[in-house]
Amino acid sequence: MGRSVKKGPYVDPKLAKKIAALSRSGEKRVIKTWARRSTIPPDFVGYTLAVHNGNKFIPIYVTENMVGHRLGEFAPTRTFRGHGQMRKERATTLKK
Amino acid sequence: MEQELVVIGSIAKAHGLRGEVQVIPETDFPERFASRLDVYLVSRRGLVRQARLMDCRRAGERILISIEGVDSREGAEELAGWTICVARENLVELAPGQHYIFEIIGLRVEALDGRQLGTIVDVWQGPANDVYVARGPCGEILIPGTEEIVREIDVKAGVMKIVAMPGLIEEEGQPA
Repeated sequence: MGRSVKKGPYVDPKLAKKIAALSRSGEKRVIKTWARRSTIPPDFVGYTLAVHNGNKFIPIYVTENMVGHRLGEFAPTRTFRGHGQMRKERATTLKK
Repeated sequence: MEQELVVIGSIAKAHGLRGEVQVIPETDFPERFASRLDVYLVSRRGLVRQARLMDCRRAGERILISIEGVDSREGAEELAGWTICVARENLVELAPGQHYIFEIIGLRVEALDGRQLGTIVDVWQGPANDVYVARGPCGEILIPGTEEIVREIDVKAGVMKIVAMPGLIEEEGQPA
């Protein structure tokens, strides 16, 4: 069952306050957070958040298509690193 | 001269009675299996054998392939657990700005101000962005694979230049 529309999305107030402060100052920094349950509001777009996965802070760059999702969705708590040590034909691209 | 091999898939098990095998693709370009391809089959013990892929078709997440010279189920069963590799020079050419993960691992990480931050030891492919794991004098640094932070990747020079944004490096992290 989803959260009531009347209540609106849950956004971690401490995190929202920090983003608002950064937005006012125009400063860019990585903000560490444990607030995995926080919904991503449009104000977070363009900031890099380090979301705790229970072990480490995973840096996540927030983009428009992540709005409405929870922060925890982007910092997996279990990661399968694959078998074998051989080089694989896997590529990486920088996110814009 | 020994060939530098790169894995593109691993053989899971035999399929049917005519020597086909099920392959788990380990490449970002599974469509490369569609063409007739000269490959190397590598066993778990490191035995290398040259082969040619004949017929390839998708079956969900996996690919069914027949290999030249393998036309019985028994022959196909022997290949279970082997990996399919190609020579490094036969890799798919990447678009500008893309890099193979094995090329990124081992790069020296340098801040724009010239500070040495360590060496890339791993790359995690996350749902939001890739994360480059660097280890060095500042401990472990997780670098988001974004243009905002990573300014330059020079594989030939072996350097990745990044913006050491506050909060990225443990020593500079703000209290939670």
